[in-house]
Amino acid sequence: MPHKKSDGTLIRPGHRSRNIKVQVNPVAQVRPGRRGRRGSGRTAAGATAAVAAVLALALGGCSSSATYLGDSGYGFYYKVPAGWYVASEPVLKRLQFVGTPAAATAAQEGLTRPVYVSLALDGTANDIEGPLLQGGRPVVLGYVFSINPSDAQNFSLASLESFYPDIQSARSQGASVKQIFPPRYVFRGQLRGTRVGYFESSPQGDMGYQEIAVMDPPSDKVWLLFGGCSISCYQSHSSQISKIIDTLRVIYHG
Amino acid sequence: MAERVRGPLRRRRGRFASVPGSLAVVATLAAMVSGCASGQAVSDSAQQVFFQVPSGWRIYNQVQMGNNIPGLAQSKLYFFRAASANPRPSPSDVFTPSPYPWLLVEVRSLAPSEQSQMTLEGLSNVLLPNDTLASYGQGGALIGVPRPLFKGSLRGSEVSFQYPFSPGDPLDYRQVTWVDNRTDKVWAFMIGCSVTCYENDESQIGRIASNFYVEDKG
Repeated sequence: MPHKKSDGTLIRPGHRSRNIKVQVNPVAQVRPGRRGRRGSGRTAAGATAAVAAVLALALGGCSSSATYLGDSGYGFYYKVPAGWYVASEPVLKRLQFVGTPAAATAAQEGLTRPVYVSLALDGTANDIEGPLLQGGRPVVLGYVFSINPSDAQNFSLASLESFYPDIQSARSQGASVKQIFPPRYVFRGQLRGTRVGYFESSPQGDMGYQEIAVMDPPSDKVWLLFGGCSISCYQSHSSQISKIIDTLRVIYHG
Repeated sequence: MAERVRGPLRRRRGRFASVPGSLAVVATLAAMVSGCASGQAVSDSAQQVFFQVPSGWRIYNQVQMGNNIPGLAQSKLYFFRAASANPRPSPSDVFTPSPYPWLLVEVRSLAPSEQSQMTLEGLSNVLLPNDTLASYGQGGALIGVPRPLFKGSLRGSEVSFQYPFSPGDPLDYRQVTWVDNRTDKVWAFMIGCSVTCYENDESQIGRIASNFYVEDKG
């Protein structure tokens, strides 16, 4: 399964995220107030809906040429081109991105893990059956990670550069990893993070990708947007992938 | 409290005289850090740092400290002050198991490699490379539970260590360190003395440490 890479081997030890816990449909288009994490009731939901509406306008201008993804509970938003396939929660479960027994264990034990996952693909439902991240169609993954308190103490900007996928682990397993561009720091309000791009080649396949990952001041949450596919696919679609990565918006309330 | 304000703050008051807003900020902060206790308020608003030194303590700047702290004279710092409570003070009191408390405050930039690698835990190594020293068996031992600190875009930590200054003669210190969101600037405060002194004066040391204030400018 292509996601096996993202389901353990690509996440470095100590930042394990094979265990995925998603409380609600992680890939639904922005549905304000679903989680009620920052309040509940009509007022909170209405306010969040307004924020989402403003964001939708800000992200999309006046056109409707995009599909908006994210989770208002985590303040996480991005968009992909209209017509892209968006994996539903059952599909994510089938691909073991969410809902695994290990995810429940990780949540119980408070390990570093994804608490939100979404997946979109430039293709159809049939295209998710092949090699996903090394395939011939651009794939976008949106993640929110909860960082274990102990890991948070040791989280640096450098940590973010290889947090997901885990480059050190890939290298130790014989993969060749090359930078597409030098890592860049990203500072947005109270958030800090990195933007990276890599070509990764291994006997299992090759992959080109770029991503933005940002974390909050306590370093206990990471918002990450990944876009990539096989190296040849990436080279053909790098501009489109880059534009999608640019759409990441994180609303952090401290 | 105004008559007690002297030294660095008095020099800076002149600079702020034509800026009522800044003056008000400084006055407010001076009041905040001084509370009801007597002391010398020290500040550098450009470096967003404010703290209070008890009256009677002798304050030193970077030049006056010379090389009493190895490498200090050559360091390019945004801000530096040290102080000693010793009745017969000397710059050499600082960072020793002195029977009288001392403190030091430093504001500096982080090199690109530090910016990349800095973690919350790593903030405790900003003044003294405890982790490196520990790898040689010379590191300090925690004498309190480290406390993470968060304020707006700033993050930081408060730690207390016992450091083996010389065989059989350790010193205890408390360190408060803040770093900005870009992770390219740190504010560090350290206060300490001999183990006996630290135990006897811990409440005063805690009060002085709690007065170390770094302004969050986002």
